[in-house]
Amino acid sequence: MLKVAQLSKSFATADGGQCALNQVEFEIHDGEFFALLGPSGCGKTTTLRCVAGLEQPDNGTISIREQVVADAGEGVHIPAHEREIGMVFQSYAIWPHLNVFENVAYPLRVCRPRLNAVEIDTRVREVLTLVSMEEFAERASTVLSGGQQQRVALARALIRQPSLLLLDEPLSNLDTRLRQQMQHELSDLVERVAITTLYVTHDQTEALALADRIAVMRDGAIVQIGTPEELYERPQTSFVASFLGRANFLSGRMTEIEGEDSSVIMLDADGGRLRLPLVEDSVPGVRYDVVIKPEDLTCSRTPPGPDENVLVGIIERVNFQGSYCECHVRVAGTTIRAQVPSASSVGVSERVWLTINPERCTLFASR
Amino acid sequence: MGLSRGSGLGCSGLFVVGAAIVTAVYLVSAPLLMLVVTAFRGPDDFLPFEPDAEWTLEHLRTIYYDPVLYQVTIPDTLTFVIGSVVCTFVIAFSLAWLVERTDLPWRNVLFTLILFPLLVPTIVLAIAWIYLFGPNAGWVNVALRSLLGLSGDGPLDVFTMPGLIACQSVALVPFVFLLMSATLRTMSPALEEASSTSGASPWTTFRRVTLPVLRPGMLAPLILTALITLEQFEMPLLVGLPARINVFSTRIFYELNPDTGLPIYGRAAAVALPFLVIGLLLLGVYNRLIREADRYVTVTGRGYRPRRLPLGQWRWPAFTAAVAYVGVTGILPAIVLIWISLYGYGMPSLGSWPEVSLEAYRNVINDPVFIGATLNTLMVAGASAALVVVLGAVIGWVLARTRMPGRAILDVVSFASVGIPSVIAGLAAMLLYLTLPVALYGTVWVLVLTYSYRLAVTTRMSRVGLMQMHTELEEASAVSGGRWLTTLRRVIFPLLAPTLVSGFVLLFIIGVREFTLAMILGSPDNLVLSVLLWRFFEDGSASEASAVASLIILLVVPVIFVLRRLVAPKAEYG
Amino acid sequence: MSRSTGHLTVAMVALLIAWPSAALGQSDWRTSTEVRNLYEAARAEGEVVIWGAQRRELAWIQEPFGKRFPGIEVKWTADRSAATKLITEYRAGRFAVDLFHFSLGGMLPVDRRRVLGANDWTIWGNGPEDALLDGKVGLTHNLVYAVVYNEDLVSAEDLPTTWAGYLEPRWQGKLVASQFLLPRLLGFLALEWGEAKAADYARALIDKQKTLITRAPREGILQRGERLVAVGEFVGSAMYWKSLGMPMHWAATELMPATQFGVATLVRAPHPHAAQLLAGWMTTDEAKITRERLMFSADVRPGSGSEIGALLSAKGGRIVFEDLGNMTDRAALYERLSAIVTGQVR
Repeated sequence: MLKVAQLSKSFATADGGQCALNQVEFEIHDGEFFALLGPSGCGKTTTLRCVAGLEQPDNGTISIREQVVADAGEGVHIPAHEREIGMVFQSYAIWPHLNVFENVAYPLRVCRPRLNAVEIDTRVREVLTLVSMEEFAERASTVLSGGQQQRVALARALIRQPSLLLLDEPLSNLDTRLRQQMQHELSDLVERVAITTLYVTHDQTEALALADRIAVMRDGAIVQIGTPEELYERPQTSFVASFLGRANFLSGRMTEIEGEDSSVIMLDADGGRLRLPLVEDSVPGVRYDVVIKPEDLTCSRTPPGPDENVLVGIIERVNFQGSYCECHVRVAGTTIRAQVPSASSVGVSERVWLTINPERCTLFASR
Repeated sequence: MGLSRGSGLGCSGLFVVGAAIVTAVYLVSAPLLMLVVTAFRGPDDFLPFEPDAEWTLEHLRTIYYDPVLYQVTIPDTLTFVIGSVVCTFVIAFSLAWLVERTDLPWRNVLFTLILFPLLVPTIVLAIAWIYLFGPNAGWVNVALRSLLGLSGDGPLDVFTMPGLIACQSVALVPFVFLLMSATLRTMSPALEEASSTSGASPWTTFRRVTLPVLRPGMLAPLILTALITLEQFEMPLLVGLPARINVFSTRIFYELNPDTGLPIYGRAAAVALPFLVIGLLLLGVYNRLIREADRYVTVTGRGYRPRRLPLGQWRWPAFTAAVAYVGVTGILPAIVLIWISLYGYGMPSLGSWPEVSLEAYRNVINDPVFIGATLNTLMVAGASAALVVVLGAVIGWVLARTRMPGRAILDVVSFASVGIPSVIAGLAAMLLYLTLPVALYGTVWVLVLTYSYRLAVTTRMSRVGLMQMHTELEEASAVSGGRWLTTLRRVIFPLLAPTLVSGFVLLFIIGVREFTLAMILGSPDNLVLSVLLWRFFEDGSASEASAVASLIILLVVPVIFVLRRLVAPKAEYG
Repeated sequence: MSRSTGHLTVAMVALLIAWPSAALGQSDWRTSTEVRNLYEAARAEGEVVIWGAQRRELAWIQEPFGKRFPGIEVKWTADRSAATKLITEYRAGRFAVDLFHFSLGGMLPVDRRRVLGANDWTIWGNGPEDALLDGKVGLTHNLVYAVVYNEDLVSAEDLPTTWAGYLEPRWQGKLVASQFLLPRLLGFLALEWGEAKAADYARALIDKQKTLITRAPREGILQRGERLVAVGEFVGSAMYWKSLGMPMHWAATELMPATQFGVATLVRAPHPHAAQLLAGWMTTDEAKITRERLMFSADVRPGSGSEIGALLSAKGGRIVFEDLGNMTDRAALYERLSAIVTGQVR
């Protein structure tokens, strides 16, 4: 449905620096909810704007529904208003001089062939109902709250029934509770309307919750594309691992390979000995980073049996998170985050033993 | 005092605000009162305070029962003002649009060149254009005649109503251009992009989104322009009089420069009264528009990228048009000035080259009053600009952040200053400072105080700047223990700095050009360059006069560059 | 000795006595004790403040005055609105001005406020006809209205000798006039011709002949060739511009009005003796001739001995002097004719 190939463009970041999109390539299938995820300034918004036609790439091609809309080499650039897209901006861009109805009706008023007033009225009210804003039709747009503006923007983007819906961090300006609510609504809406969506965000929980597939971007390039589970469980780089979830990074040196199925790593932290399933390209003597998520550590007050895959430390801090607590455990040389159920009521300065589940570790060569 | 939340003024704060309000009211209302009183005092040429003066309606009768006013003055004035405002507006908007929102080549250079006519006193511009477009011997006409093989006079005659309108518009364009580029820059590009992504072509976007959103922000400068044009008299005098055009401002001038005897100031004041009334009416409209415009101000979020419209095939034609405009209105007058300063009145030709000399400059620089005049000019322009900026900021703060009772009056007073023609302000100042027991009259300080009555622009600019600034920034200072004065000094002023400095530079330039006030209040001790220039002219020393004008430009050009740097947007995004 | 011889002798003796006194009367101010005492007192004061309308009338004074009476600084201020300022200052109790040097018309409103002081002009060799307004204003010079032209572009023979001559079609589009000076000229012409004829003349000059009415300096307009002839311009101005190197010359007409300028001391002058000294000196031949030489403005009254005066008489035109008698009439005429000149009345 959307094919982006070899996309390159240099652009300026908000703090005045220069960045470049570097051979960005991805494909979105019909009806898919695809997220571009990454830290600020990494080029995801620029990518989105290239797809929208608001920017021209220096290199590469973009095609929507098999039709090439941008080809830097051939000099093709179909302008934004001729692409079949709907876009929601970060600032919503609701026009202050038009009321809600007119804001939403605008795409129908400027398109050709012109629709008659009755048709426009029907469709506007339809789409407003879709976003639960049907009572606001006659309101002035300058008095809307953030959430309401966002819905109007969405309605406006959808009314033309475009092939592609583009969203540029639409929820980042909302408060947390509203954001969560909007996430649900957005998700439902997109499914109901069955529209292909390209979504830009820097919030990994959002991406994980909403997207069918995610492309993680960093410094103008795509680092990994996959489903949320794939990215979360099997990050291919330490960056992706650190970006998704609150992982722990433990450094160590691989000391030996035992047989065909395991390797041993001496961790710097606490000198702990870690036995892991053998992974490809394991080389003894090389330093590695071991990534383990807090929920994959078992925390106990008494020493567990084996002394492999165990670290011991003192609890520095306990963060109550509702159903679980996140503990920061000071292990010689580093701090490790672990999760415990709230009911276990661990306290600060307690000594605990952390058991690492070797199946849940991910190994990366240290750079 | 009914102030808004979080702005506990404290003792020192109250004092500063109180002092600022009193000063502002004084600076503006003393001339206002003088104007109103003078119109009703007579008889004849008795000055308002003379022992034999009395209250009378005779001046009003003389002026308003005179059919000339209704048959000639009002129609001419309407044609002139409407024509000039429309022209100024169209030109300034087009230029601002091209420079701020398109990919016009050499934008930055053009921005500076467009501001060029600001540097020069209007009187100098008028004389330069007469030189260029005088029907018989104007340089452009001579050139056109030889190019087109015409004879007789013309083809262009500056001494006509269209000629006057053209000269006046072009003189005011730089100021309006500045105001408009500021507005264009603050418009969020997302609004236009949303229109594009909704399927509207660029032209449709312009029509349905850009213009309506910009409208309130454009109409305010329009009103300001109308008021300023009403007050202008240099162009109508030098270009309009030969064209047999009579407007309100020249009428005031004739009353102040009668053929015989003392000027009848009462009549001049009577003619000026409508200015005030119209000004106040327009103020009401202006305020309504401003409230609308403020609602339309979109605080730019993260990822702000000013979007420039690619002009495509129109790029070079637009560039040529802009260059042609800048050439005729900025560069040609400068060439005329420099030529006259080096050679004198005659037409340039190859034969005259050997007579070109720097003698005029030598005469000017060696003139004992020149250094003093230069220092006075810098001092007066700088001090009055600083005073007006500070007052404007404090008043702007009071208007934007407090709910002080009487705010509306303060608003009216600060804006009403635009409705007072400078001739009247000068007269009022003269009378006031001669009457006051303080020994200010004839000093540079009286010029500083009198120049400072123009509070309207800085108050407005500060108010807009403050509205775009979140109150939380000031509140953060309060909860950190800062008193109001501290907040003003450490938070408000630094954040408002770009607005304040732009205001300062603008007012500084206006102060250097100011001529009418300096003439009326002039004495040997407060001679400034614009008056020196005029004196040379009247004496027949055109070369020296032009030399002074050239030196004024040299003085102010660096300031223009500073203004450009301050007012320019941050680094352009790719 | 016969009776007639006796009379003759008496007459001759009287003449012998009178003539040297008369001659000495002119020159003896240089040596007279009154003047010398005045000078001593003035020197003690050290400076004198004089206000006038134009730089040209004031800037030249310091050097020759200083040569004759060293030690006194002449502080001058040129300002068209000097009269208002003066009155305002007096009202405010500020007495900072010694002398007022203006046209007769400019003196009147000031005199009405009783700020002009008295001066003894006779010690300077002046007669009663050399002072006006009850002897308060000493007469200094005249500015004569005629026609000024660009001699590179127009030759003297082509110029008409009458004002009416400039209404000929060949002068259409070639004339310029000052908005300030033309009504004054017209006022004089109205006294001679009647107001209706003067008004017609004004309309013909402006509407038919397309005369450029302006407040800009006319010499520029002439030198550039924008127009060729300035109607109602001062003879002295032409001479002054010529001295600056411009190709200007003046031409006489059948009737040349002359405005009168004078100088007066002011009451409560801060430097009264210096004031009287300078005012008196300005009415002497020495000062007048110096002014004529430097600034080309002269006292052209009959018998003044001025070169310019002689030149003007030789041209045959009649010089009409302004006097207090017709001032008021002329003022009213100025106003009405001025409205035609500015275009307010069509």
